[in-house]
Amino acid sequence: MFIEDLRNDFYNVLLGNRVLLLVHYDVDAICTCKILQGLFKCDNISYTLVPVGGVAELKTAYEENNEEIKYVVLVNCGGTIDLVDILQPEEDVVFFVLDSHKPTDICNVYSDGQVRLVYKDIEENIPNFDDIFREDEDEEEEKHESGMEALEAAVERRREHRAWEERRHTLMFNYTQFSYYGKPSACVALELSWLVSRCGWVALWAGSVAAASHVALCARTPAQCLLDTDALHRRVASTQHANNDTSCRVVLEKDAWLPLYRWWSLEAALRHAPVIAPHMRLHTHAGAATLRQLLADMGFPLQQARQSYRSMDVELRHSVLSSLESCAPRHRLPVPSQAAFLLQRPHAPPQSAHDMVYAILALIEHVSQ
Amino acid sequence: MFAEKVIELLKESERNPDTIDPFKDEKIRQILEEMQTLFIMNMNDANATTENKSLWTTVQVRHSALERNKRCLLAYLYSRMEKIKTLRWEFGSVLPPDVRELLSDDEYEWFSRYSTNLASYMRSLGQDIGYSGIDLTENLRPPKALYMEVVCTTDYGKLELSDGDVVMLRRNSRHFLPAAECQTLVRQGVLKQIV
Repeated sequence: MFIEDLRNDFYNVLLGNRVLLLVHYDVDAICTCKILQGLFKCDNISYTLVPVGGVAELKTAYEENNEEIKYVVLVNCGGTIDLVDILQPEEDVVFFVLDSHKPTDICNVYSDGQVRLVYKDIEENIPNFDDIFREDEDEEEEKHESGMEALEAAVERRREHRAWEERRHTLMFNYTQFSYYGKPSACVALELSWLVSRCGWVALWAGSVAAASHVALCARTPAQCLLDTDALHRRVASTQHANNDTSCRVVLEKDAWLPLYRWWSLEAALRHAPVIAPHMRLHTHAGAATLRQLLADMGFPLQQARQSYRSMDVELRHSVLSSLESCAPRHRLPVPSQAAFLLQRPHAPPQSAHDMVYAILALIEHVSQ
Repeated sequence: MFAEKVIELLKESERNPDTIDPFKDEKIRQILEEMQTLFIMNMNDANATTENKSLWTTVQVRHSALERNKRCLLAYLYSRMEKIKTLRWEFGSVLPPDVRELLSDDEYEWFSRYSTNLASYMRSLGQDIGYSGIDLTENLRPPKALYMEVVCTTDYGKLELSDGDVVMLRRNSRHFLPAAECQTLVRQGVLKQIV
């Protein structure tokens, strides 16, 4: 069952209850969790947070923590499996699922209130209820009629049934054939925090990092990514007017599409950038030379390009984007700029949401203990 | 000099205004003796000089010395009482033995009566709205937040909250719990606050 009203049907239900928060570990889920945690803290909703990595972990996490818990919020997990079947919950436990993994399991969609999906994706072609589920027709019915008529009716019924089953099979096959990603969960959580008027820069930043993660990991097509961030753009724009320079704020700016160039040297960033490196065939023997040529065209001395970006000359630092853009057509490169979310902090260099994605990914994937 | 001892007493207790000193009964006894002699001398002189007014000034000086002694002694006792009051809020109804030694018997009796009074007052609080008393000593300053985010460092097992909820504390699990419930566990090192 889908939730119609984010605020009344989801958030207000949680108010004043203990919540079990099961969060998958990907960038989007972490950002969503941050936004939700911020909301829960404001409203003193006590929660238990458990990170889950797979179905087995989901099961153990639920079994360990299900005492006295009536509301479970699943972030980026559980949408694609039949929750009621796998977790075997009590009758009165309610699951709120906020999952960007698609397709959503059909049993979750047509659950009568125990599993509630927080966000309805319009892109999903969910089969109709009648096409999937059907009461097993009472075979006993009209048994007392005898003779040819009854036999014919039974045959007819069976044939119908078989046709229906075949149709169901095709529908289900088409529906579950491909798995893909939907709108980032953090965008939905951001919408919620906007509805309860608590959309500060922390929530905005978390939302933009999640949106950037879908772009960086190519989880969605670029056009879809742009549509997903539509609401985010509006929120960011509406906070621009509060122009006080003493606090952090999120801005939307044109930025070079070079991951992590603010933290590395320019040369290293160019060498690893997905829009530059494959197009210039940097993996070949001649790669190093072409890269040097690009730098020369851009007017960056090697010595400058090899030291870290933050200690480069100020003029060069400002001209990175413009010189890269002017050189791109000559080297037959795609457009090397994009609209990026930046976090501007007082007394600190700005931070890009894209860089944050890679930083979080590194932390998730690097197992230290 | 008159009232020298009592000034000494006050100065000593003034030297450490935050902590409580041992009760100086020896010194107080000396001061009381001084007051007693002053009083006897005054009485003799007053009786002897009903018609002769030449001794009246002496009597007056002694009398004001007496009053000063009395006033200073009261100030000393009062400041100790205030300190004992704060002891109740800091240590609770049971004093550690080393603090107990610092109090005189009368002071200790006052302490236990104050403590009983406070306890019965706290129990009576909020009874009309269904609470069974509020522990006023719990948060002497308004807390920043009623809840806090904690991470569990050991496999502690089940924790039952005062509202009946059961929380499973496992290693590395994170919870957002009422601060009053976790304080003791944080102090024991089972939980760690996340800031």
